[in-house]
Amino acid sequence: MNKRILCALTALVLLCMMLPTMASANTGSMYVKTSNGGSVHLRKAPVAPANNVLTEVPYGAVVDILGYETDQKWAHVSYTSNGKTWTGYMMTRYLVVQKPGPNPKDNPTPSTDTPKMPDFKNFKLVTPYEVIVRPSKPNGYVNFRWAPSYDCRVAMRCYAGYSLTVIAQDGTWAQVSDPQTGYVGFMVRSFLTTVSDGTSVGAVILGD
Amino acid sequence: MKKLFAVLLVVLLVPAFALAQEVEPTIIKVNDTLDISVVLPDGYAMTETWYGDVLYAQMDPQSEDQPLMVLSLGYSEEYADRSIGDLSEEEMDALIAISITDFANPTYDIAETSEGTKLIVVDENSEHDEYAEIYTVYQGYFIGMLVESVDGTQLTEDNLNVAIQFLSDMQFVHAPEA
Repeated sequence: MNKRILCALTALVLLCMMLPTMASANTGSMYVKTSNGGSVHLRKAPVAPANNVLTEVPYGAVVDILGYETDQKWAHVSYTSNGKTWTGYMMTRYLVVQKPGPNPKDNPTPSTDTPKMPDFKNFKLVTPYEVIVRPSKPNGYVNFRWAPSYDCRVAMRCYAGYSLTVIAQDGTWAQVSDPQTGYVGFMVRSFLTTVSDGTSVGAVILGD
Repeated sequence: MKKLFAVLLVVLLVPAFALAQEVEPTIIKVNDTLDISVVLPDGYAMTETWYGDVLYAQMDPQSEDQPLMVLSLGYSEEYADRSIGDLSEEEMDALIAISITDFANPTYDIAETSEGTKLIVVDENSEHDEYAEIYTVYQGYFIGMLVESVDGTQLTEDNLNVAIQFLSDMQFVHAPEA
């Protein structure tokens, strides 16, 4: 009897230990984000351009991540809309962890920031967290500046997927640390996205 | 007779030399279905790098009075299979808005390639930085060209024209369908 109870308890303990492992295999959900507010193709296979579109997934929609291709360029996802579920492939550069802001289509008027002096008064230290660079343009880079102002010189440019650590922030700017170069500078927060499994890709700095 | 022979020789050799100096285009493989053919301007060396599925081709000038140029090209689901000429007025406004983000004091203009493809030319007018960027969409591919002054002097119209000419000479070479 004692042996049976012991075996049952052992099995229960082992099962509890497995649960976190099973949970981490699920890579969660992400949002669709495009620079122009348009939709993204969900494809039958991880190839584009190609005549393999299953459906279009709109800006801001949630998709469930089922896995990633080896090169990290594509994610295997499922998308549900109006009671129907599609399973296919989507380019990872259109997937973000944080819910994106309002659709850019609703704000078509171009706007420019006028140069201002750096303003540090609203900056707050944060528990450092990792982010990757996500340019506003489909392919491009984001400017890394010495101070939180467009009026400050560009120190270097970071391409899409470049990894940085946020150490302080205000509503618009993030003070970031670059683990590769040791530089500390500032980037506009809207061009940074929280790291999720499999979405970070390599990038290199341009410029002195 | 000897003089006639010498003249004939010159007449035949001059075109041969001219043809020999014609610049051969460079072919870059973008993906399994697309190559691009580019003509590197005089005095430049090019290196290709890939980040994800986006090509970055950096063109370094041999002299400081020529600007650095960086071509970026990647397939864009946002503009799948369309070119800039296919965009509506609203989409064009949105593309311009995207193009001028992350600039301190941008001004933009619309130029055209020799084939008539529109180019959005954005010039940075800040006190500290001297660069411009050129954007377009062609057959679903988003194309960017950074043009940056190496010696810090203001970019000239000739500098921008070299970049525009490069984009005009660039050709898409699609692989035949299987």
